[in-house]
Amino acid sequence: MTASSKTMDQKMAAAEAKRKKRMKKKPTTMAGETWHRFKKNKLAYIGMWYLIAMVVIAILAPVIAPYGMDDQNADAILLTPNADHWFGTDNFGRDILSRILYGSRISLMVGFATVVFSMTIGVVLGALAAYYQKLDNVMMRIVDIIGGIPQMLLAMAIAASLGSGLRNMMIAVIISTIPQYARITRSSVLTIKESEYVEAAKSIGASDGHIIFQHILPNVMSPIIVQSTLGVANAIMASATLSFMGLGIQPPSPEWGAMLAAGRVYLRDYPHMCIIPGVALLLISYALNVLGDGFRDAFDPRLKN
Amino acid sequence: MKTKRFLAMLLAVVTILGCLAGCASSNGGGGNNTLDPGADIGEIRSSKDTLIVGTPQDPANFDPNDNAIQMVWAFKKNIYETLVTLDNEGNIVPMLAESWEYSDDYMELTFHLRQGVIFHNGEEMTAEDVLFSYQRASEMANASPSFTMVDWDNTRIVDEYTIVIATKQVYMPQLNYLAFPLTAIFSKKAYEESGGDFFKAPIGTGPYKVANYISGDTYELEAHDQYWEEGKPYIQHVIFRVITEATNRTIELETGGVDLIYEAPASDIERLSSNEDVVVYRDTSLNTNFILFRCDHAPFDNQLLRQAVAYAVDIPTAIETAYKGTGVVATGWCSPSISGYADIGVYEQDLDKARELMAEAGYPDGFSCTLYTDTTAERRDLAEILQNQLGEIGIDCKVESMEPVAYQGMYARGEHDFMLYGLTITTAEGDKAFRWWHSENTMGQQFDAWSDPEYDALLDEAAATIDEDARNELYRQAQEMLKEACVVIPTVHREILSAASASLMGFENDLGYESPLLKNCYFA
Repeated sequence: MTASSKTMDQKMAAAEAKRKKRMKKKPTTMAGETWHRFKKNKLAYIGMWYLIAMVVIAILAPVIAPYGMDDQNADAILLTPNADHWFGTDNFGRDILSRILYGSRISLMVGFATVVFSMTIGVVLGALAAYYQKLDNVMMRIVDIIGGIPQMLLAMAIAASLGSGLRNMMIAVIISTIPQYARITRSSVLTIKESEYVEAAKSIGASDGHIIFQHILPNVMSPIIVQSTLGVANAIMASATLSFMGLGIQPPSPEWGAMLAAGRVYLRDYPHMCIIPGVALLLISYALNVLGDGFRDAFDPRLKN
Repeated sequence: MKTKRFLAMLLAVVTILGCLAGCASSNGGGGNNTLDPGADIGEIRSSKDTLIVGTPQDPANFDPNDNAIQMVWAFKKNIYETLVTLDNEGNIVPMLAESWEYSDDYMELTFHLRQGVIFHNGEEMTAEDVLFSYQRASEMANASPSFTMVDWDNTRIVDEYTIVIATKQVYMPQLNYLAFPLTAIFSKKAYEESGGDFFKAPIGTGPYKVANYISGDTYELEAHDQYWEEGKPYIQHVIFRVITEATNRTIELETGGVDLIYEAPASDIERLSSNEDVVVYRDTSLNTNFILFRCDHAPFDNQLLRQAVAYAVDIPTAIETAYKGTGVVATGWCSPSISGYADIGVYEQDLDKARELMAEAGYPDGFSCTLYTDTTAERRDLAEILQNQLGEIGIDCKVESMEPVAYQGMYARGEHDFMLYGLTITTAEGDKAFRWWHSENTMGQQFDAWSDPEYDALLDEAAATIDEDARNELYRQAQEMLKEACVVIPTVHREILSAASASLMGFENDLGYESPLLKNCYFA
């Protein structure tokens, strides 16, 4: 009896300890659980740290860059990578490493800023369209018209008509990516707005704004966050493409796409001029892609394990 | 899934690097082949009967009077010919006209046409065709500058092979203007039958006629077997391939995809010169590239600021870097090969002087401006270097590079503060070289909006001066004025860069129009 009750106590204590341990390991908040699932994805985790490192580099560029971004030197033209110039120099004798470091500022800024704008506009449009059925047809058809044009073509047309330059390039990328966010938001909101808690909110007389912003949007955020992470990579590539074609940032700004374009003339004799900005673009967009994948898996518990 | 994607990306990178590594090697040694061009042998047999030309420019249409772009003429000159033409020494030589003479008062120019010149449609060319071609040309924007001084009331046909061109006043440059490729002669009958659509009937007298074409891609020409010059052309078929990307033209030539390329990129000249299978043709052209100021709005409506820019930039260094050792740093306001050129010296870098001028103009700390350029690699590079140099004395210069069509629209509207552009003086004489800055410039393009009645008077007087020395003295004074007012800053006399397979003989760059004749070419 004693023995058995003791074992029972021990068993219970062990179970309690185990539960506590599990509680500690497995957070109960939504964000905590998501983070926990996210961390399990090693590739996404590395992608995140790469991105953080790039942001730090971008902020510190003027401090860590060995040369200025437009320090031309007629005596050091087209050098291949060496001790003085780790990434070599370009056709004006400018240090490519320094330009890559400064260029990360432009790429990241363009990437994040355009996504913030196009996401905000797209989400609001999508949510309104889904919530107010009368608006739906008109708004979504407009979005469809914009979305029907291939994104890059639209961006090119906008950039060409507005003229080149950083601001116009960003406007071009923003407009051309709005439809993606509007569509995703709309389809998510359409499912959510039929749910009981929305009806409950309605029945106690909550205003539309309150329902949309307090009840609906927080519940449709995960696909939007995933889309926007991928969207940053997309925006960086789109702006690089525009700059490559001469529709984006103008010299001497060290935009990576523009650096690629400038280097392509020398591709056969001095491939480092293209390889280095090319790899920089590849890495950042890969990092953002795996990060986006990681978020998607983490947000969706059904995909877990 | 994720691993797969990573592998795919890795594979892509490896492939790209592999390709690059493959391209980077294979650079043969050896010097430049020298040739005996234009060999004047009676019996020339081409060992190959098709010549493939890589050209940067789509000719767009077959209209003999349209388009001011040299590379378009380089195509059309095979189909259409002019009464007279310019040789590489800058002399006017016969083409469709055998001889010509001035009337005693120099108001009339009589041409004696070559007899037995047969159009592609088999009909003979007569004075009727010449007059008709000229009248049409005078109504076409790009060709009309050649005819502004023609007095149509007194211009007349004397007989089948004689035509008199009258001018409104004594106008010595007229003969040179008639060597301009856009004044080419076409068949009046064919034009009327085609309803004016030259896409249907490009009927000229040239050594080649159009056989087939895919717009924007390839243009196939076939020898005109009734061509007036005995035995020519030597090569039966010529195919123009439009290859806009400069590096691709080089690669095509190296791999044998084309036999001849126009506008070889400066960055590839070294590589091509060291290739034994390729001959590079380099000649200084009649072209001068300029920094052109727009003088009717701030900041460059102020002469002091224009001069400040001229003193702030180091043109020789900039040219060396941007043009990679090709071209000649400009020594004056036109190419030295042009009659009327005066050696009056150019501005040289002097930063103190530049700062002084800026202070005097009321901008001691600098000002902002926008420099426009088209997308030519060399010009874009030059713009970036100038931007950097101007930055050193506090001039905040933005660079805007535009596609050619947008570029033309921009400067036609006069939106630029200053811009980069080149002018090829196709008549090889002073009137055309300096008339660009005349306030009633009839060239169809206006860059400067600068006007000085004294300058206008000088040019008008020069054009009517028969004595060459007296005329050149007037041109010298005009150049002094241009220098003082600093309307433009000359940068470089560009080099014409062509490259061909070593087996191609008889090829020569064309200095006047940069549009070489292919009728003398043959394969050894």
